Amino acid sequence: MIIKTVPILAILASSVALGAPAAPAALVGAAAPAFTLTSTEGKTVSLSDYKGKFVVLEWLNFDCPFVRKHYNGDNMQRLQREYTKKGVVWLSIVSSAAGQQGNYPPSVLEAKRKAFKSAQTALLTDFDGKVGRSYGAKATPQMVVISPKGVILYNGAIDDQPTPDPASLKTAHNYLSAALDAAMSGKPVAVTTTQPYGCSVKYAE
Amino acid sequence: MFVAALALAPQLVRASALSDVSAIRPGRPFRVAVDLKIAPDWHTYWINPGDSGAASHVAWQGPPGFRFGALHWPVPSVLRTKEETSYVYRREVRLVTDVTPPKNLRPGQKIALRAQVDWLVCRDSCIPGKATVALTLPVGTASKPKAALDDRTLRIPQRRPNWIPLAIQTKQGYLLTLSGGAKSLPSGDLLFLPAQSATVEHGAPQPLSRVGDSVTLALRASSYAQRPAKRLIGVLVDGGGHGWQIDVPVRQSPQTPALKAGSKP
Repeated sequence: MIIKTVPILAILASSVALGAPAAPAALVGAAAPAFTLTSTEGKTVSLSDYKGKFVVLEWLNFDCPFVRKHYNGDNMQRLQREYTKKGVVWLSIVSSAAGQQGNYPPSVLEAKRKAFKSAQTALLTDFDGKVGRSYGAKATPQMVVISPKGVILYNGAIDDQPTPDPASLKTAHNYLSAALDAAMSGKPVAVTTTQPYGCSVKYAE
Repeated sequence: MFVAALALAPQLVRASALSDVSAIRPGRPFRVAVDLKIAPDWHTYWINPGDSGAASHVAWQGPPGFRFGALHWPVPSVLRTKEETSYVYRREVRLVTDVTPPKNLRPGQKIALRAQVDWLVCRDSCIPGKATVALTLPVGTASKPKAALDDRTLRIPQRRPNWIPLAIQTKQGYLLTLSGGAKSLPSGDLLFLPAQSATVEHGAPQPLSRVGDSVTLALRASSYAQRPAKRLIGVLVDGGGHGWQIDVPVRQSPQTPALKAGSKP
């Protein structure tokens, strides 16, 4: 029997091309990639500074409607307050390239951070996108949970409501809280990855 | 940049309501649609938006006794960038709903039907939008056909009863096979668009093979799937943008071990 293979529609390979972000799911269980970035308050911040602590990475774009859903309703800030009080280090990261949505001078980002009464440990700028790509940051918001031993426990969407509609917050199941609450009480994380939703991260072309 | 875009927002999508009848006959189903006219270079999304974006929502309301069915989604276009694959509509899309009116309507009665619509329209950035659209129809016995809202005109995917679909779970994902009489299966390139997110990897190639009267697509499971899909639901599209409904249970091949949740496909 002859099996004829027909070439399919011209499709760009989705696998890791040079410069394309890693797949979030593939990073779960792996060592969290090291990084050193500058915060909007001018401090140098390295992931290695926080060995021994749970770390949350939050990919951020203040102009993205999906991010605003969480910030306008104090949802993100509430989570930041709750978990930083419990000793979690919360790092928000802006990977928008110059000239793209979400990119602002660090002083402007710091002003926005304050205006929203955000409670993260630091807001870091990653305008060349290297850290975003290394974590497979595809969308804002996207959340990563790193264990005290430096292993990625969760990488994906913040909740199960991929919509910019604030009404969805009432019934949303929050994957970040679920992952942190489980890990911090010594239990395995049930859902380790979900498809990130939101605005695509605006990497440099 | 975002502020400038916000000022344009009302013009990015213009929503209106249409019907395929000029009068409502008691008890006789008809169709209504929300028409979205989308600014050039911008797009809205399918029921499964793909790697990013958000589907539009339509909620119809009418007087008591009017029953509205589910949305029929036209075949979307596939939008590929270096990093993502999404399922989108450009320029214009009509989202159609079947309506069944009650039997107890008086001739000449005026019926107001209203829909709340919301969407996400994107180019490089995304702007959510919403609108309320309405139309009023009289109750009558004769009706002149109005807008063409039939499946063919709107490119709503059809079932093909003479195709026999089969889906088998594999280590990498799934094999979707369609068997049909000679010449009944579409020729050329084919692509399966999943209607459910986190089932099939949106951007992965789907190698195709033809054997006799069947065609098989190899589908990669989504890296976000918590467990293997129980059904493959979606649309099979050909190179010309024609689409056919697919809804088939996934069978385990006797030789394939079940994917464990959390394991890499």
